[in-house]
Amino acid sequence: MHEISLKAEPLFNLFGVTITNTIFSSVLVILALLIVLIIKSVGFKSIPSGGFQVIFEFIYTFIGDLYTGIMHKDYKNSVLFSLLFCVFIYILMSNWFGLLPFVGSLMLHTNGHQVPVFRAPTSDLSVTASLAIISVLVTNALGISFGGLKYLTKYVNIKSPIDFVVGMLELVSEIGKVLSFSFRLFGNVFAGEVLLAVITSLTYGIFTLPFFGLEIFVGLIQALVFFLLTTVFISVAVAHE
Amino acid sequence: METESAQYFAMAIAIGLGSLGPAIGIGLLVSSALNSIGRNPEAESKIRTLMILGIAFAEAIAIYALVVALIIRFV
Repeated sequence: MHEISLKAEPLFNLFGVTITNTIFSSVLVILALLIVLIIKSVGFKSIPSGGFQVIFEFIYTFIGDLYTGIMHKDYKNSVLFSLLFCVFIYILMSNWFGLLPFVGSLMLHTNGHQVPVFRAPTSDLSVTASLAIISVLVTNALGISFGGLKYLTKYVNIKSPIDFVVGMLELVSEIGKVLSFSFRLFGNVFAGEVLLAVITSLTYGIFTLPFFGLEIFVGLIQALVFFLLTTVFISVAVAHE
Repeated sequence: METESAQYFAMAIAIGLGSLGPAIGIGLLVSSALNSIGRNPEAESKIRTLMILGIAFAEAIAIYALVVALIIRFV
């Protein structure tokens, strides 16, 4: 069983920046998504005929209906929904990337020890923390853009002592949101990786299938939960009109 | 007791105790969701979305405990 490392293992140096295996895998996931979606979307017709268009439109409308159910705004021409859908698809594909056959087993031999070349991007706390910070920053930025600078008086309220304390608690709660977003996604994907490493070292073949099924399910649910929570927080921030 | 065995104990206790609370919380959540669906079957999809959201919040606490357990063992 290859050693489980909480940190992402560095692969090589590029112009002075250390490239880890999760950065490499993340770039691969993004490139694969871009290439497949751009090439396939050229052939999209008004009456869908190909299987890919049907499946993709099903996913898009399913997530869009969730978005409409929370924000009460149409998703079809919404820039915000495009951003949130990109986050959802990126997290989903990153979670499922860790289940591919060559991930975790293809090794690079450097400096005497071996390092897995590919690793699920969301199993790295840096990636999930970045996604969490983006979500919380976008939420607050939308709150300011819709409500003006009066939105910031939610946090710093000098009217009365008790309002000030409540504002401080709101600020702490925002930091709690960043932590909880990042640790929920990181914990689920990393624990899934550890589970799969242990199970594949204990049994083999068909007996590992239920655990792969569990990982597929958990990856989908975590991407969905990230999307839903971000949407809910945005709808709360924007509703202060 | 050497560090290694203390680490094993700490890891087991961390995740063992840490998943008690979220399990009870999720049970309460799902039970009240099922009750309200039984009372009002038309609102099922709204209730289901909110239930999944609530379960994700409760589950996150168990994940914190799991991350602490993994840090104890592997760092």
